Amino acid sequence: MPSSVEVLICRCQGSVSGEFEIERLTKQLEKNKRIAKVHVLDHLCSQEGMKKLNQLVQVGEDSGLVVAACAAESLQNLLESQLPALNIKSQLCSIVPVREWVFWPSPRPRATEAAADMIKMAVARVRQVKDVGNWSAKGAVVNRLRCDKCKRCMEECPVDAYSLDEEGYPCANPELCQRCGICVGSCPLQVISLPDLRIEELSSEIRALKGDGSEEPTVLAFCCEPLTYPALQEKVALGMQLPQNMRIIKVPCMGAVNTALISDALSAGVDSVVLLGCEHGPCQQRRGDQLTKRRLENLKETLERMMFEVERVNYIGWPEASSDGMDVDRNICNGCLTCKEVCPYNAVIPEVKAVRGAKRIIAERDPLACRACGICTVACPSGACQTYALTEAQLLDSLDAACSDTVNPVPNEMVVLCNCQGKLSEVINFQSMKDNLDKQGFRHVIEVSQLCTPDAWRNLAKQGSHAALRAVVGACGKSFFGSRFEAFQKEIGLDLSYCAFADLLEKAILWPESPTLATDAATWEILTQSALLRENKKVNGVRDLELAGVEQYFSSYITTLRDLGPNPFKEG
Amino acid sequence: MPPKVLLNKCDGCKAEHEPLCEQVCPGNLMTLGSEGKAICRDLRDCWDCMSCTKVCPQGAIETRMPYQIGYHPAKLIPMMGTNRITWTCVDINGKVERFIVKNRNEEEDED
Repeated sequence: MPSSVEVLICRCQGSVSGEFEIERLTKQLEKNKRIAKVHVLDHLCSQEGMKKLNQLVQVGEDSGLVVAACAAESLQNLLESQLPALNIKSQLCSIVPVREWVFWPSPRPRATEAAADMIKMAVARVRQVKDVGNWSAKGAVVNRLRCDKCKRCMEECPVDAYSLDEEGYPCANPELCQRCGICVGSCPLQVISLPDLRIEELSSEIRALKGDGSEEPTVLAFCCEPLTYPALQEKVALGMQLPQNMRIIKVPCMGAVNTALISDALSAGVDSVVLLGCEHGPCQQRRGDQLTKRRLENLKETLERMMFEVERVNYIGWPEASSDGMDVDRNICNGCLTCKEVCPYNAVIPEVKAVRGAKRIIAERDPLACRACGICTVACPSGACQTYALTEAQLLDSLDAACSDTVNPVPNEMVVLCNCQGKLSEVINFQSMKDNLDKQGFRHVIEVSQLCTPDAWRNLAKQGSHAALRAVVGACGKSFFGSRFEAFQKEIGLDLSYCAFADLLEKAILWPESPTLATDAATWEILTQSALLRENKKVNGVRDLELAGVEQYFSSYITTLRDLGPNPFKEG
Repeated sequence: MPPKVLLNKCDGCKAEHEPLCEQVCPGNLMTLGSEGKAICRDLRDCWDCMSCTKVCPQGAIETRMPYQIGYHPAKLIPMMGTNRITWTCVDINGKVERFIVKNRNEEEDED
């Protein structure tokens, strides 16, 4: 366990401090005896920020670090490469995405308190971090001192990774183990750990949940790493409001949530526990959702006998994202059904259709089963199967753009470049990029400084009054930020299906020492993205509906919780 | 009064050779029945230690209150956490009391 824990808050050059009162937050955190020191800095993701980090944080071998910032994946990668230099083990460092979970789902009057609450939870978790032989392991690890050989883990493991060793203890084969954590959730004695998950850590984090001090009910939400965590994050980026006192914990699968943790949360005074998992999701083979529902049913029955409100525990199945599907050209399809043989999802349904007067077999797709993986596109001998998201013509166009440097942009095609308040122009040469694009025929190249604010987009709308039909946006943060932009784009009336996104931060991270390479790579991506736009067939529009559904669910759930009143175990 | 096994919840510890309640019972009273569900083989010998109730991973065992302590509506139900047990006690008048017992050492919560 770490001897001390330090906290680092990134102010994001003022764009976060507008919402949080950083001074008050720092003072509140400094009062906490568990926190050794609180640092504040600007733009952790820039080279300057990293240098500053090295100066600020000088801790001993066994110290923990909690970073409160944004959690774009790139930041995580960036930090991870810096940790050895700081003498901090990666298990002892935790990133709290305050921007995504507090600052964006605002407006909130108590954002500062909420951020403090989240940071304290992370500190409580980091304080419990301990190597029980799981750090170096590649799969689940059973603590043999406490295991009583009940073999439930063997029974519930979805990939049959467990076998018995010579002494009769179950032991996971690291080659087979998928680290889904279903055994962690199944173990009645809670003795199984994953390389980055130990029940004691989660339990300590849960018990630190105190809410932001208002009357609003506290909700603890478990999100699964492959599906609901990124999905919820995207919804929040698009403008969804979360319940005010909702705290989110990421687990590999819903099956990793041990019922003991739910019981811990309820007895610690948390008003409600929500498990946000899949509903017969793509990883159904894991059976995580079924197992969890069964466990929850059992827990609910016990709660009922205890005369405890069962509404406080809930499983929410996240609607699976609908894929764009495949386009089968009836005029070309010759009914050979090669696609049926290669389709891993059995989505091909041969149908007899009248084509140009003659009856022919056409390999239609079941829209629910098809995941638009594109395997049939490669196998199809006649070239009739194309994904809507990326057609072969689009691919060829972008290859063309990449190889020959000849792009013929449509008139009015706009390129918007964000230099992130000068952070990106430290590495990428924006002037040469603009010159280059101008040579290719792009007449509307606009450089802005903070595209992540709504104001920037409104200014852009004024500038681009020549009604740009297509636009390539170059900024930081991959698809995740892209979704944030979509919300703004809609606001100013840009058609989403004619916008492409190029990741500039990625280039700056890849080639920090070489501006020429980074600039070339960035220009190249903008050119290829522009080429991809030309043949776009992508269909949008499902998103709004789903978003409204989930948001509505949460708001009605909060009303139910308010009617129930506070958890009887709440202190005071 | 003996433990009552809720048949819809008990999964016989996935039909293991020895279910957890059998392993833990100090009087060696619990065993697997023919349908793969736990069963108490000698009701009169149970001394209400509640070990099986606490250890059951499915929460499938209920301890009935002895009549000397309380009649029908009275209940005593544990809910197991990672390092605490949350008890719910219902008396014969239906009055509910809850208390938490820590059964492992942990760092004290503070603000």
